[in-house]
Amino acid sequence: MITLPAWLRPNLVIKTAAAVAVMGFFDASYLTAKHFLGGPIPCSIFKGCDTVTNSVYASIFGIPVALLGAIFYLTWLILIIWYLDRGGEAIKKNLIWLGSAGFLFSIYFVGVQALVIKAFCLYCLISALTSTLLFILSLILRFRP
Amino acid sequence: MNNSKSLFLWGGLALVIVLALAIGLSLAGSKAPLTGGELTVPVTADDTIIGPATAPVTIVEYSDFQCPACGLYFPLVERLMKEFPNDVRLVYRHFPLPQHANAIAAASAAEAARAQGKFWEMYRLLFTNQDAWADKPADVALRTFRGYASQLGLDLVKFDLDLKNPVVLARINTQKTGGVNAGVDATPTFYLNGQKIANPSSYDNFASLVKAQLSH
Repeated sequence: MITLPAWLRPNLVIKTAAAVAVMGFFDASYLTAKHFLGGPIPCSIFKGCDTVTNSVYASIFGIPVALLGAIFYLTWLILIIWYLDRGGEAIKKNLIWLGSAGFLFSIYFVGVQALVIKAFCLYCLISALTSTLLFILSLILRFRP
Repeated sequence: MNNSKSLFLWGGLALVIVLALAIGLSLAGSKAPLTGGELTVPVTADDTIIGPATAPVTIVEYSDFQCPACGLYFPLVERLMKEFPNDVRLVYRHFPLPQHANAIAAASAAEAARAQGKFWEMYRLLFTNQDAWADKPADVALRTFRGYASQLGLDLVKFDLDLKNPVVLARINTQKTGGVNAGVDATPTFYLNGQKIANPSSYDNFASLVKAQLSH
């Protein structure tokens, strides 16, 4: 067993989730800012960002997926901070719905990148990773005795 | 209720939002500063150049004809050349990326046109009609390039020979290697008087960088 410093131990899982959500939020904010302000995303040797973020799959009903992602992570953060501030087991137990939605979206988008566009975007993959982590953490929060 | 804890939590959230905005804005940026990278292969007579030799501003572009971003920058660069006819010259260097299946063929077509003095005409056709050949099978793309060649009145026999000329491929590779050595890892990459710039987010942005060079 690793012993953690006392201040870190309570709510460790939810604090980890907060850290992951912050990462996801920075990532999605960057992609959103790029979408609205940046010029075209250059084509990189590490292939893909141009093809992915310039593709028709980058928006849903005209709303850029990156913006939806930023809102998603912000929702996570607000709920976590609400919980840490005021408590509320219901929030903790129901984060799984948010987690599952993010996870399903990530599967869909990784699938689109792999099978349809046949190109990957690094920042999009980072987001898939952070939302998968959030999903796992939300499972722990829900089912941990 | 512990007030300082609340303040810490919600203040932290506000800080995260502000930071995300600041990072997003500065990275995606409306400003395109010089980023410090230096052009390692100097511009020589062997380069593919358009614009007056005496122009005070030289733009070197590492580019890939099949790259969508390069296609989107093409009209910006055209406009720069038009609006600064005496002040800007453009050097085009090939940087075909591996994920673009027709990029080398397109670069070869431009080089084969160059052998007949029509590089820039082919360059314009390739970028203007990028959608017509970019994601097509190799044979379709090749047929399209031959179509452009005949449209430009090129000698097609010579064009076909040049397409397969190892010298052409070597030239493309040499230019790309020069870019790789300078740290180019994406297309388009622009150098303004030998200094790498972050890609401008708009024409005005690009033009202001050129003007800044002119006022030096």
